[in-house]
Amino acid sequence: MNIVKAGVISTSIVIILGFAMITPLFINIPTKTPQNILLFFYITDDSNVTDWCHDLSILLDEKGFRATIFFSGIIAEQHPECVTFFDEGIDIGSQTYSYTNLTSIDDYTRQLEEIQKGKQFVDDAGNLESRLFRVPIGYTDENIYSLLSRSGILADFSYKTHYNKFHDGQFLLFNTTFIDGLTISSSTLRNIDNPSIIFFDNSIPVMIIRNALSHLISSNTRFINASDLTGLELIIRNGEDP
Amino acid sequence: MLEEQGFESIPDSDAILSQERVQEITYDGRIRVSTKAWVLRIVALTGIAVTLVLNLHQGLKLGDPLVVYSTLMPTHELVVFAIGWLFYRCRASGLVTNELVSVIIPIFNQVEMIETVIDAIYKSTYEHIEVIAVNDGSSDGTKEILDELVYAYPGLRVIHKENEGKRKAVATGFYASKGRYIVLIDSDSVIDINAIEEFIKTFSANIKVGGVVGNGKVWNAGTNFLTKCQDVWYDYAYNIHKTTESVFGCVLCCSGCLAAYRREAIEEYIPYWIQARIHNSDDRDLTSYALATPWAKRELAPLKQKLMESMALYDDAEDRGLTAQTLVEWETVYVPSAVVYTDVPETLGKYLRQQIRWKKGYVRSNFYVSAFFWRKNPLMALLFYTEFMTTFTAPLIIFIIYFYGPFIIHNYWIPITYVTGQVLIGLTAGLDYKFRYKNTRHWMYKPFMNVFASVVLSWLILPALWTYRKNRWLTR
Repeated sequence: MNIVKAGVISTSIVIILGFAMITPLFINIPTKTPQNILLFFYITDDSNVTDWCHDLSILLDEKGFRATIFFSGIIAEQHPECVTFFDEGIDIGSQTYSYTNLTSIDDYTRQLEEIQKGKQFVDDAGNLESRLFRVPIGYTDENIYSLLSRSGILADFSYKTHYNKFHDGQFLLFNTTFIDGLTISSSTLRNIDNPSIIFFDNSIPVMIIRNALSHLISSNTRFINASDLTGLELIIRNGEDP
Repeated sequence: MLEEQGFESIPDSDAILSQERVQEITYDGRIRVSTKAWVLRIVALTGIAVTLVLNLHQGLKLGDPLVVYSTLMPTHELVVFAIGWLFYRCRASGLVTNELVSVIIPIFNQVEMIETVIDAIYKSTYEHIEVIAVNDGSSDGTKEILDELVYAYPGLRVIHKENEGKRKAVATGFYASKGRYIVLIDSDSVIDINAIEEFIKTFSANIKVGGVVGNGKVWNAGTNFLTKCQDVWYDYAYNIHKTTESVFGCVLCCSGCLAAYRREAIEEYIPYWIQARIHNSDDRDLTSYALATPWAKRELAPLKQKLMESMALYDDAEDRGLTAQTLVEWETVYVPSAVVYTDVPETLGKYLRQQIRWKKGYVRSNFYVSAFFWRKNPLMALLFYTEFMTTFTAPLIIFIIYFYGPFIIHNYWIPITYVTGQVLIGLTAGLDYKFRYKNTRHWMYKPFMNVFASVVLSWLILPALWTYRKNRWLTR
């Protein structure tokens, strides 16, 4: 082959290869990763449950937020209408029956009963099957995995630094961050992990929650519920098959 | 440096040669460095390797579209540093024979330095030399000085010719010479007294070596910021990059300031070489010819002739062209103990014009070398093709790093990471210089020079391609 032709070919290959390594950057312009936020609501005070849940459901519906709310069995038993306020897009979780510290109960059977009974009342109140859980008061231990798997729970949000997802007969750990809703400010979105869980309890007036949530709304924010996060169907409504 | 030593203008050869000059070579051919330097080297190599692996891992994990490119670049740096530091051996280990050496100085308008340059040659420890000064139509009084020098140095042959460019000046000297070895020295370069002897020792020790390049030092390094930057840049180019190329016997450019060839390695090429229309990198052309593969040799009649005819059309790669000639069937090596002091541009304008000229020669010469270089050692080929590729892609990469990354896709890590990498690599090379030449104060300019080279010099490929037909005699 003529050396000039060989030079043209080799130089062309060099140049084409060089630019071929770079051009994907321009072809696949990365879209900014959306900031996933999970809104968690806990019922810890039984004094204003119905009004608070009603106002909250209106707020979430009005904004189109997907969220997750946890009830204890006794609240669901006493205020079943509260569970029904929350419809599509809102995951319902349980928190034992009597909202008690699970680790303070010595007997495993009684612990299991607390969880299963709490779940049962939530399920009955909402005519659904709830498969997500969070311990009351934040106290838990290693027994939790055995208790939850025996109670039909698929996702556990009991810890402050991670959540557990049931997969292939065991709970797998995934990191996340819990943020107190009262600490939210206009700079929160710039400093939080992705995903982050922002929680409120019913001691906080819905008006304050509304103001707090306004800081989180941006074109890049995506509000997701526990089912979206885990990729599991954590709520089956109206007796639908899982 | 010279100002610090009290020089006001061009110093004489004794003053230049009195500078800290020669790196110590160990008995087994290594460039001697301190334990500190080895600690730095090991840390640097480990750091680059770890960065390379992490970058690859993260890039694949995150689907980074630049993962291949951003892996290739540190791989190149790793190979250059590792090979040069760990495997280089100086080959100047043969006997000092008594072969005639022809020293050719192509000269154009060099009234200030020519006496110093010739004086240094005659101080050489190797005395069996003939010196041929070819005046390529100088109009600044060089001719008159040369005529006077003939009386001062009786063995000096001076040839005056009309101005036709460096290649024809070299060829004129070549045809007038009788020596088995040809030493080419730029008319602004002052050789160390041992330089020619070191070349002879290299040729006599290795019959396959067809071309040798000396260790280029900047004698006007202390003049200003720009020359200090070039000083440390020269050190990297010679004592790290060329050592690596030398390990493979493939130094791609036996620089014009001081190079030597076996007569038989280049004599067939000279007739083609002198037909050059454009003069930019004669030394690279010669070296490239020398390094070409047996494939080129087998295709000799039609191919070698066409290669040389094609390369000789332009004079912007005279050194590379000669080297390329030698590459056909010979090895080309670097000899750090053969020191030459050369001057570098002292103004930015001159420096940029020089760089554009070199860039033109680089592209033209490598256009041909790329046709056969893939048959050389795979690691050396990787270095060659990576550098050749980067020459073309560098402007786009710089655009991505400093504009597209931060302002379009809002990824500020791209410029931060890149500049940090450049600075760290520069610091490594600078400190290595410091450890080899303990009195140097210019080592700290290397990080800046790295960033400057990427941000400014990489764009010169555009004017180089745009003006590649223009023909100038060096920077004058």
